[in-house]
Amino acid sequence: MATSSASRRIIRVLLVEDEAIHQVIARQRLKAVGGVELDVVVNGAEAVRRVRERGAYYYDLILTDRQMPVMDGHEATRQIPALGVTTPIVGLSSDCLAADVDAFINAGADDFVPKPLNKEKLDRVLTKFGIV
Amino acid sequence: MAAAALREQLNAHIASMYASGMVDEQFQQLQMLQDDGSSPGFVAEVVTLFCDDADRIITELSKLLEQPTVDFDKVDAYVHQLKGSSASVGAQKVKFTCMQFRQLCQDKNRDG
Repeated sequence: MATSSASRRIIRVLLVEDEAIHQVIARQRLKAVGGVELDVVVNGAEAVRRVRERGAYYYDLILTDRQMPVMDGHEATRQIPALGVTTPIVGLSSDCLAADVDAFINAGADDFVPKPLNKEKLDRVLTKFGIV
Repeated sequence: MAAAALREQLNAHIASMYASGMVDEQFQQLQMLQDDGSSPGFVAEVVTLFCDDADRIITELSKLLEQPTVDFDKVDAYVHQLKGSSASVGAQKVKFTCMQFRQLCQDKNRDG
């Protein structure tokens, strides 16, 4: 059954990002999509814990930075699917050479988006994974 | 009238920042997000965060570069942060400078 924007369910997104400026921009960017419920954690270990608490099917999308204290985005990307989570994981970084992209994909990420997260990049991800 | 004059002055200033290459289309996207999302303080919040980040990072970089033996891995990590912040706010000239700076860090590391 087709869903209109009015009846569309909530989109649950987990953002794993330690820097306030990137959190604020992503929050505003996702707010503009509409119907997004955003959780923000500041490192990979918190992301793993949050996903474990919420359950395997809770989030529709996980966006993760690479360089963070405690546990980086690559390690979180490796650990989250081991919890039985099939949510798409998208790596974010301002380093976007082929080696940087490959490192995320090899860790198990479903996609990679160079920072900054702008409208076109977010739309592409949401469409690719059938989220909107 | 005063508000209109200030708005005009602000617009002229922003136009000159685009013209000089100081900011790029990312800054424009932030302005659009502010207008679309009915969030009047959004751009100011992001710019303030960027200025705070830049101030903190430049202070740390100054300390690192004053050491007798410079740890270019640490320097590179700080410049990486500044590059990310500057790209996100659309501060194009800062972003390009960070990219050049990181290349120098990597060259220095290779040279030992």
